[in-house]
Formats: sequence, C-alpha cells, structure tokens
Amino acid sequence: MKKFLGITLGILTAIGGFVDIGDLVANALVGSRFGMSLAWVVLLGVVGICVFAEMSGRIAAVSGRAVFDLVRERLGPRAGLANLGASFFILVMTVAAEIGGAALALELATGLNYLLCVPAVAFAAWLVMWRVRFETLERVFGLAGLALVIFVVALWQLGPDWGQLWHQASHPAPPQDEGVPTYLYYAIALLGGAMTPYEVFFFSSGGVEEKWTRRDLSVSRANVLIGFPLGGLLSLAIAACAATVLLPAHVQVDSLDQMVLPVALGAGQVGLGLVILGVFAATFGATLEVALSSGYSLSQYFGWQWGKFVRPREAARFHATILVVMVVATALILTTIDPIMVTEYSLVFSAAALPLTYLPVLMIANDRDYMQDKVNGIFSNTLGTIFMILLVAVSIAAIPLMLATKAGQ
Amino acid sequence: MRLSDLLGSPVRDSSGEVVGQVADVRLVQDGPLLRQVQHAFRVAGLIVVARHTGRLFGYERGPAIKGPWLVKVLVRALHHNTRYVPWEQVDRIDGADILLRVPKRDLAHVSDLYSERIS
Amino acid sequence: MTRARVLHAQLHLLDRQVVHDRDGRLVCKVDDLELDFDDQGRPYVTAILMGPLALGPRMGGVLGRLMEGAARLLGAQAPPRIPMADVSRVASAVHVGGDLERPALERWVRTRLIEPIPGARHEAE
Repeated sequence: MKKFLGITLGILTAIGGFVDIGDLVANALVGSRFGMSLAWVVLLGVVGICVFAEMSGRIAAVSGRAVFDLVRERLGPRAGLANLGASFFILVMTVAAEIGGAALALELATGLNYLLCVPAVAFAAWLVMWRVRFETLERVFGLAGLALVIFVVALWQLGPDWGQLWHQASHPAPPQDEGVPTYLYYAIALLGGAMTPYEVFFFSSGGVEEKWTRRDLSVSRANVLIGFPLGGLLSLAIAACAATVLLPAHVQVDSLDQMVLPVALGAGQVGLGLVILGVFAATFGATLEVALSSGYSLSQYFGWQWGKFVRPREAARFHATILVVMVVATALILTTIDPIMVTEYSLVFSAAALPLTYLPVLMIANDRDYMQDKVNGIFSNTLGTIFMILLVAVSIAAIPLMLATKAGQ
Repeated sequence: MRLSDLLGSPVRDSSGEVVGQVADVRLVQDGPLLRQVQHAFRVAGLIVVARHTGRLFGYERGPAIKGPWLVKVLVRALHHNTRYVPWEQVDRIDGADILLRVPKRDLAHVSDLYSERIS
Repeated sequence: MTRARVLHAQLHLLDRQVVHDRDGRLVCKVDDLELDFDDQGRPYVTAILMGPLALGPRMGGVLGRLMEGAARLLGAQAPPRIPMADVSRVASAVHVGGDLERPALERWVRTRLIEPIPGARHEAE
C-alpha cells in the first residue's frame, strides 16, 4: 500500500498539468470544436513532460537541487530573472484561475455564488499549505483528483461511435468549419499546457521535500510513468466526452456546467456528483501545486531556505511569498475577471518560460559533476533535443498565432 | 575587487586589438594559505570568447560534459575562437579593459587546456 | 604531488547554492566573489559575497541599480560575506561551516510577518 501511495506526487503534478481549470475547459472546448483531431498533441505533451520530469526528478534525487535553482545556475542571473518574471506572472494568474475554478465547482454543488466561495477556498488552501505535511497534502489531493476518472466511465456509458472517434484522432486536420491557424493555436495551447514549467518546479521540489536519494530513482520514475500518462488519459476522456455529446450539437464549451454535461448524461446523478467532486479536488490541488511553486521558484532563484520540510519560521521568506501570492490572486479573482480567460492569456508568457526552463534541465542532466554516473543516456538526450527544438518553435509561433486568431475565436 | 569586475570585461592584446570578452575565470587552489587551513583559489587565467554572448555552459571543458550532441555542437560553433589567457600574460587592468602583454596570435586556444593538461 | 583543485568561477562557483554544513540549511546563492592580490600581484578569492548589494552591481543595468538602491535604502552598507576559509566543499552546492548571520530580509519577514501567525514554530502535521 505504501508503495502504491508513493506515486501520488506524480499524480498531483499531472493534475496541475493536464486537468487543472485551464486544461479542463480547453480539453472540453477542443473536443466540442475539433473532435479528437488534436489527440496527438496530448500524446506528444505526455511524452514531453515525461522526458523532462524524469530528468528533473533524477537531478533532485542525485544532487538534491530543484529546477529553479538550476535555471539561475546555468543561465545566469539575468536570464534566470527573465524566466522568474515570466513564470511568476503565469503562476499568479494560474493561482487566481484555480481558486476561481474551485469556487465555480462549489457553486455547481451548492448554488452559492462563486464569488462568495472564493475567500473560503483561498483561506482553506493557504491553511493547508501552512500546516499540512507535504506528504499528506500530496496523497489526499492526488487521490481525490482521481475522481475525474468518472469521465472515462461516462464515456463508456455514452456508447460513442469508437470508429468515428478513432478516425478523428488519426486524421490530424481541422474539421470543415475551423481554420488551420485556429487548429494550430489550440495545438500550441494544449502542448504548452501539458508541459507547463510549474510542473517540473513542483515535481523536483516535491522530490526534495520527500528527501529522495539515489535509492529513490525508481520511485521517481514510477511517479513520472504513471502520473503523466494518467493525466493524459483523463484529458483525452474529457475531450472524447465533449466530442461525443457536444460536437454533433455544435455546442461550444465556455462554462463549467457545459463541461460536465456529458458526464451527467452518461453517468447520471452519481456521475455528476463525482465529477463536481473531481473538479473541485483537481482545481484545489492545482491551487496548492501552483502556489507552492511560486514560493519554490522565488526562493530557489535567490537561494533562500524553502520547503515544508522545515518549520515555517525557518523558511519565513518562502511562506511570505506564498501568502502574498494567495492574497494577490484572491484579489484578482474577486474583480470578477473570468478565471478561464485569464489562463488563456498566460499562454503568452508560457512561450517565453518553456525553453528557458527546460534547456538548463537538459544541460544539467548531462553534467557529470552533478549527476556522476546518472547522466542522460542517448534516449533521453535524443528526445530532450527534439522537444527543445519543438518548444523553441512553439515559443516563436505562440504570440503571432494568438494575435492572428484573437486567442482562438 | 570583485570577480564580476573581471567577467564580461573586454580584453585587448599588446597592440590594442580587441581579443574578446572574459567569459569565465580559471581558478587553481594554490594561492596563499587561508587561516592555516586551506589554500586560496588563485586566478590562473581567463577564458576569453570572441562573441558578445558570454556563456559557455561548461562545454569548453572537454571530459565532464558531453551531451546532448546538438547543444554541444551549437555552443562550440558559436565559440570556436575561444582563447585561454594565463594570468602571466596580463599586463594590467586599465579601467574596464584588460590589457595583455602578448599579441593575439600568440594566445592559446581553450582546447589546449585539456589536451596538454596545463594545470 | 597531488594536483591542486581547479575550478571555473562562473561555472562552478557563481550562482551556486550555499549550504550550511552543520544543519544542511540553505543560506544563499554565491552572488559574487571578493578578490584580493597576493605578493606577486596575482588575484585570489577571499570571500563569497551575497545579497542584493552583491547581485545588483553584478547584474548591472536598470534592474541591478534598482536592487542595489533598494538595499541601501533599507540601511545595508556592504554585502554580507563568507570567508573562503569557511568553505568546506564545492560540489553541486557550496558547503560552508562557521557561524552565519541571518540576512536582514529573513529576520524582518520572520519577526514581522511569519511568527505572529499561529503554528509558525511547529512542525507541519
């Protein structure tokens, strides 16, 4: 049982990358407009994040250094600060969106206006980060987020035309009424979402929180190889549900209740209850992951003591950062800004942060002074290089595409 | 003086011609004894790149960092004219510039550091 | 005769995490290094410098000056330093021994912000 629970770090990290509020809506939206024709992007994203998360987990286990520490070390203080600036912006926006998403899920469950739920959610999240042990936090929210597996069950119950779904997936081209630029914009949004830098910030810092050593390399790998594919599977199930129910009806998803509609249809009241629980758990878990990552990245840039593995007073600046981020994010969401739209625009900053995050990881994973005998093999290096080229291309294309398609209209 | 004063400084040879910028500083632990405990790290030489982008990311060190292949090739290509200047060849520091005693053509290439194992 | 240890300053020392030997606590990053000249006029490293007064001048530009200015406004005069004699090991982090003073920002944040909140002194549960 303990061994099984040891993979919850990977699951919680994957939740932030594949089924947080931005991804939940993006997957449903993509399914309702493009069917399964963007499924290949999800698969590509799973492979990409597995490659780099494995490297960052290995680095954390062998050297005890987490990713943002390495970003400054390899790229220097100026490029590191540029990455920090871009990443921090994304992180604050994302925390705001996740708090909003969790509040929206509560609204679906209780009928209370989501703005009333926001302060409660934010306070509860901060309290968890302040008092709850990292391991407990990871286990509870990693497992609770798995309630989203109801999407897979609902898909099965809906009895879709599997042949048609497969046909859409194996023909990567936009459907009749969508243009190629919009198709590519969503491809980039999905890939950027699957490989968001905060996933490796959280995963590597989590590995240090869990005090991984060389002996835990297999644990790190198990986390990666189970967590992220699971996240990808949930992504695909959400898209498939939307493709089955909403695509034929030409319903474009832009709110949470539309997104859960297929589950209500496929799995009834029980399903609806589970999906709301799953959405709440996933967005709450993502709030924790992203807010902690803001503390991790700032502290690791400046070299401050960070982590939940020490008493809060020993890591005062780390906890202060998290507190400030939570307050700013809460204030932001209370301005009634649309939480989902917020994450779409943070894609622009992702474009800058992606190569600046993954290049140092790739370089350090090859450095014998850090890794001794655990340097990258040919497999990791080849895949790592291919993805680096891809990410640079994505970086260059992201902003023009966003402007050209007016963010996917 | 601080180490950052050396990094990024322009380097000129004996005739005043610009050789490049200091990208890194090679330190050897054979300086004065500190507190009777250990030797200080003495500046043995400067690694000078011809281009403006000053970072070598460690690829100039032959053995320790090998891959990934594409990154190594790109960094080496960008910085193929990187030279190593032992401190003995430095004449003086004039404001921001570092002036050398020898002409550019007499300067060693950084790869000589590893093939001849200069200490 | 064993060969003396060789390091490249930018690659192995600058921007590395400094870790305190005694309790494994994270101290700071190596923001800059202090140099002095020996009898033959050759420079050698005397101390690790940390904090915004070390990083600001090194980064240069507007941001660097802002960083330095902000630190001076808060009353700091010189960057905190760790003498090189206290450095015990240079590996993936720089390990130091000796007694280290808490940086000003950490002290301020700790007393004003964090300690008043209940639970600051306890282990997480």
